Amino acid sequence: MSASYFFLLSDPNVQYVALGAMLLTGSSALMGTFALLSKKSLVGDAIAHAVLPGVCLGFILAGTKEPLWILAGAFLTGALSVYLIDFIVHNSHIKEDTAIGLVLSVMFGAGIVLLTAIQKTGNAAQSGLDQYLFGRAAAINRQDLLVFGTTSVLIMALVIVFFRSFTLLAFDRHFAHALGFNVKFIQFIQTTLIVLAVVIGIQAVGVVLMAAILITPAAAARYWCNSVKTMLWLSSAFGMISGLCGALISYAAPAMPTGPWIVVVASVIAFVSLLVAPEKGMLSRSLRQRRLQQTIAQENLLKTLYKLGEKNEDFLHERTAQEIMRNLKSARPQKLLRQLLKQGYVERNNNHWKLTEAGYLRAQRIVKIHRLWELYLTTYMNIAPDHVHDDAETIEHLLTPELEKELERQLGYPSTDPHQSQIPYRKT
Amino acid sequence: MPIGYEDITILITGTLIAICCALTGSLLMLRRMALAGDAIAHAVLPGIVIAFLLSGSRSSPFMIAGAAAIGLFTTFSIEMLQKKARLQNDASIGLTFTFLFATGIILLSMLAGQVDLDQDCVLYGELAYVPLDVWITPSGTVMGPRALWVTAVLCLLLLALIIVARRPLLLTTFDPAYASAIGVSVPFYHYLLMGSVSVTTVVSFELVGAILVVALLIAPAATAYMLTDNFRMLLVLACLAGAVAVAAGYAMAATLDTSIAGSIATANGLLFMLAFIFSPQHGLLFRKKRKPVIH
Amino acid sequence: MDYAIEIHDLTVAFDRKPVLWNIDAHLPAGKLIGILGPNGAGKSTLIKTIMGLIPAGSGYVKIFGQPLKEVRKRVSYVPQRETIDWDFPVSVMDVALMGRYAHTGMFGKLRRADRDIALDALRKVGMEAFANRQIGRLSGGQQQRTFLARALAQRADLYLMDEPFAGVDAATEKAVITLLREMTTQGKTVLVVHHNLQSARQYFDHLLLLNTRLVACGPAPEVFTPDNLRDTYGGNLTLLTDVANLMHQEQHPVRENKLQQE
Repeated sequence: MSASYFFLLSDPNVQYVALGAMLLTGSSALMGTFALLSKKSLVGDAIAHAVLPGVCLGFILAGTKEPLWILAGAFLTGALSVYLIDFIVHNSHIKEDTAIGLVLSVMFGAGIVLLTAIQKTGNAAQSGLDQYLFGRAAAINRQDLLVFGTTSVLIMALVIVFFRSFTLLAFDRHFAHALGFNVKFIQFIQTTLIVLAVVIGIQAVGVVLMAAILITPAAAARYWCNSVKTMLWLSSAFGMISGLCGALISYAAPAMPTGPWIVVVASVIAFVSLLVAPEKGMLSRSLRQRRLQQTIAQENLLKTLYKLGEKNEDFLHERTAQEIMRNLKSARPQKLLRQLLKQGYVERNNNHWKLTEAGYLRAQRIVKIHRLWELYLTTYMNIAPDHVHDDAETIEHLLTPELEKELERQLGYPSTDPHQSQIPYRKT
Repeated sequence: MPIGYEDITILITGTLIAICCALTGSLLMLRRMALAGDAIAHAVLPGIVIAFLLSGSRSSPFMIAGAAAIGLFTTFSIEMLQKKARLQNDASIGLTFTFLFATGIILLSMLAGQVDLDQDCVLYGELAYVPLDVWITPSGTVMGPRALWVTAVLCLLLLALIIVARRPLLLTTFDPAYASAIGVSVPFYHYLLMGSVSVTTVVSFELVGAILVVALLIAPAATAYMLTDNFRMLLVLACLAGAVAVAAGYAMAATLDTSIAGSIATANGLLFMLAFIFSPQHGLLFRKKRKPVIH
Repeated sequence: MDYAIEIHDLTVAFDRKPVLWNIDAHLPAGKLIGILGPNGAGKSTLIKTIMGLIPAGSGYVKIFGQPLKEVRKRVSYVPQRETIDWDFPVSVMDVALMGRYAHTGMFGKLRRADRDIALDALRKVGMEAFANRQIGRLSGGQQQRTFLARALAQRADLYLMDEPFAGVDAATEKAVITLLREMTTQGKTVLVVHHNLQSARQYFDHLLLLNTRLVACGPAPEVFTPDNLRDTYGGNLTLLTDVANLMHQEQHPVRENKLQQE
């Protein structure tokens, strides 16, 4: 298997296709990042569909599949769709989503009308025109590569030049305007580049799925970073990986369409990202919740041990597990005790457990914050003393040392809480 | 060109589809969910291919149910992506439907030869073949074109739904907060509508194709929205606009010898353009003169 | 004393960030009650939570001594103006008739009497002449009156109104306040989210001062003191804000036992 893949990659045709697909998807993903950040990703979808009539018109005018004419036609109708959507939204009470759907479907319908009409003329030159629907990545040759390469370089160069303007435009239009940026001009350049990316991108995946290579890599990149620059790198990398994989898959299994595979690979990257990305991923968020839950349960147990010692001021006294359980609402106290043992907060002596010095200090801090917070609620927020307990139960696990100090300072290091319990401070 | 039996069958079926789409599409538009409709229209493809493979026929209730399920799944996963994965709305829609549509196309090419369904059908639909696919009962009675029956039943069901549930549908669309304040289940009507959109899309899919369903859903609603300020009238006008577009599109396709579905979409666009420019209330020509009345 | 609304230890959070902390309040029946507080104080959130539109993180609300579910018909709600799509194809009369849905149900017949009640409500707010007008073709004041008419048509006992005077002309404001006063004399309870300090004193019988926490709640003359107003408007409790932000950041639960949910 690996030998045959190696053989594939040494085939110049495969190299063209792989390289071409990577250039197309990489540069589309670059503009897709800005489309996504400006919350305009579905306008990209509209542009993609609206390109079809332009492709057909280009063909009709040129009489052959002359790439330049076709690209020009595609560019014009693609750009037209953006302005039509804008015009409809600004000159009627029609909302943006309806305008997008309307322009997208009607222009695509017009494209189908032209395409069918061309196909029925029997002009031999037209064969292959319908490849624009689902992409023609598998047919990329050396000449195409030159066109794609040039366009990609152009897009990249302009993204570098306009990086700051595009970012500001996506983030805060009004501020950009206030700073004296020519918002309309920047918007024009950005729209032009998005249309350009779509026009060359459709050669890889076709008009119907074009939205995916614009949005999906960018959406995936969003989960991994918080800076626009990193996002641009990542999304074009994701785009290129999808392009490469799509090209290889369709070469390994020639019946497989390239475009849809590019989209599926990009989608898988996105799904994996939204699941496993650190910080923003779903798994890491639910993991954080579980860890939080565990910490809360552990701290509650320490607190129980502390309170048992409060009566006779014998905080480091040994207690039986039964005694602890009687005073703690927890489904699995044994497991918690074992965890705390491992962390060095409790010690074990057969069936008896006691706080270590570190455990004692931690428990003391929790109890202190609990009681301080109760006092804060009653003094600063006029909340009745019998309503402050539940809130303090959660806040006691949360406060940072800075907030803890601030709380002590604002309350003036009081000695008792609203229920006349002692507030324990750490002896210095 | 004389109008024959086949033309009439196609026109009636097309009109019925247009009415189904106009009814559900109007509600989608008013809920600002036009693009969710677009997404469902694309996303039902894998459902159709799989159901097709399993049941081996078109228009079977099995297929409609399967594809409707995937339509609801689409709605659900768009919402999950937003809520659980915190992806922005437009990207959630785009990611979901392109993935499902691409999967559908891949399934199609894997099963090429096993299913009687191809990419052309996906894009253009086969309205022209409606008269050819005849429903014959087991006892041998010829009942006429099957698609005609299916769309007629769907149309009646949707009309009944909209008449019976017009109040909750209107209220949950217009002011969901008030609706839930007086005890109406907003999610229930949301999923009811999305389910209807899915079924409508599936039934229309093989007749007009995936993308032109979107034109039938949204364009007539937008045209009607330009012409009236009344909810009931909006629904009526949208159905009317859809029907007119079907007739005009069919005539256009016959004259130019081109795709029927594409022509219907184009006719829908032209109708909208007329309404957009010449509507007495909201049209481009008269818009500037009208100012809100201030007392 | 009869209470229209009892709020008990209510905490509400958005994405784990508390916007209302431990609210406890009893609101008397048959009064015109104002909710006052600066922007972001959680006034609208409070009303929406009372209406069950936002889930509570802790605590509960009782209306006329019962859970909301039991008394839905007796409660009416007027949403904030910005939340409405004013291009929506409905007329003034359509909106007023929606008030009757609470009684006829979603599928019951609208009788002639229901139309009369809706029309009567429109007459009360002076919108009878505009019954067939689309709601987008009204002035701000007329739009507000239309939604007031819907609430009136519901013939409820408790009215919750979210910023009814925002974007409304002085004449409408005066007319509406007179109408609300009249309603309270008939034993109805009206709860209004309000932001104008100047008029609050003369408009309301009872005041609830809010700034993410409850500052004061009671008869207007007692509550409307410089001290209370300073507590309400004189900036936030920075510690409270910090803790709220920390909860959002750490995705800390509002209550320990709420951890598994969501």
